Amino acid sequence: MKSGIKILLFIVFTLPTALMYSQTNYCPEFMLLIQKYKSKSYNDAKLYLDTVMLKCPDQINSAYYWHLSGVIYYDVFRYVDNKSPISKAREISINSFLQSNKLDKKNKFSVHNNQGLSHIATSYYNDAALILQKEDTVNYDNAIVFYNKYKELKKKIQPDYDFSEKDLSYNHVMGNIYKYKYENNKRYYRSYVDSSIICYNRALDIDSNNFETLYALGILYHNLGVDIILNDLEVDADLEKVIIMQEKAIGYFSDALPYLKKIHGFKPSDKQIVHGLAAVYFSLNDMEQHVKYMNVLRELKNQPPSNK
Amino acid sequence: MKLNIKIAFLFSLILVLSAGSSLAQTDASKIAKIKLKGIYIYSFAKNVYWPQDYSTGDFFIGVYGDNDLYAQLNNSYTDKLIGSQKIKIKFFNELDQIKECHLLFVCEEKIKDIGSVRKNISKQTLLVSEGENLVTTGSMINFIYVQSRLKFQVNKTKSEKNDLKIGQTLTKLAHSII
Repeated sequence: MKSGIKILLFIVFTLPTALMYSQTNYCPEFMLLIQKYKSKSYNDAKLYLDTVMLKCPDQINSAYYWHLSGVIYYDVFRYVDNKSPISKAREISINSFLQSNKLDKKNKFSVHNNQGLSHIATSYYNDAALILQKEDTVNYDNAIVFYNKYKELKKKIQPDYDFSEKDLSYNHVMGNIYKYKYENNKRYYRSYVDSSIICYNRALDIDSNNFETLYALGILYHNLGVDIILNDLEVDADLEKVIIMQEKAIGYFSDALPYLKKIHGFKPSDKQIVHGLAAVYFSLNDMEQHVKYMNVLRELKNQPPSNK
Repeated sequence: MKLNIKIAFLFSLILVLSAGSSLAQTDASKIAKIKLKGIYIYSFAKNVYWPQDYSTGDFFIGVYGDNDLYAQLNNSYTDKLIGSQKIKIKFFNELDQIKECHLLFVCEEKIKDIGSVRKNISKQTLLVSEGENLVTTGSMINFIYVQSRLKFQVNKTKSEKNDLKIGQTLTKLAHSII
């Protein structure tokens, strides 16, 4: 991060004079702008950008002006707004860098503009990650916005960037968040279950063998089956309704099995998975299989802990 | 860049932690099964018609051997009405404790006692069991699991012989009727 900023500063401080004379009419205000920036008066520099544009309107076509605007706003975001996720300076910085790239026919700034854009993309990613890390069920909408902005920007500067790993983690955690949202109020937030399943499946589309997601889906389906009976079924429900609900529950229990079986194949000694399988077979009333897995669990519990 | 790596690490940490955060619960599943059975028993009480003599006073549902089911029935149905009768739930752990009920449920563990149970109760007690089938249990309604689903069989002939009229809902939804 630090080396990137150094490069940005280098270009800001070393190129101005030559470029100012060569590309556009001389603009003394531009030199003052650089001084303000150099003295770390970021807010002053930000406001003075407008003065430069007013006094030297031809700067609108200067890749250097827009590059400097990008750098100034990026530092406003960093040092004045303390990297606040709601800082508007970040958006303006992006637009400035992009505008600079557009005008930079001789590719004098694009590398540095992209470096700035890359830092901003990372800042969006970090903002998303901080929310996702807490599995925050209140502010998760912001995480979606930040993550999408991160991807959008990253694609612009690195079109062939492989998002697979990050998308997998993102979708898995979003699946968890939607699941927690549902668990907070199972009747009112029923629709979040569908969102959770969609996110988990997106993660599995990226890696169909992802252990954590397979486990999460297996458990989610099983618990949904139990929830239908425990939460959705009234004690004085009509028998017709009971039969329909039971059918739904069995459907969920059956859905849980392949996920848990698959990861049991990956980690046959994992007690949680064996317990999960025993629970699903119990729910399916397959007592033979239930007893089989309970015995496996008992054996695993009796095994001395490995040295690893 | 360092921060990026740090956050990526946090992401993977979340994955590992989440994996252990929600274990499938056999207990919850067990409670769900009991609740389901309770709803069926309540439906049996609502959809079977007893002779006039049994239509006054409280409506007794007895449970022989299954304490969890008793607790579920007691919590959910005590004082609910069957016609104008208030439901009361009784639990019997021993054969000689069993008293007259409108409906008596005999759990699987006690099914070996069912012959003796039949001798100790009046013919107008709706005997509900969970066993292999109606023939072996000799009850009027029997719970069975068919392809993971809890279903019930009805011995209509025997019920009617004992002056108990099985309602249409039950005959329509029963897995089998004899």
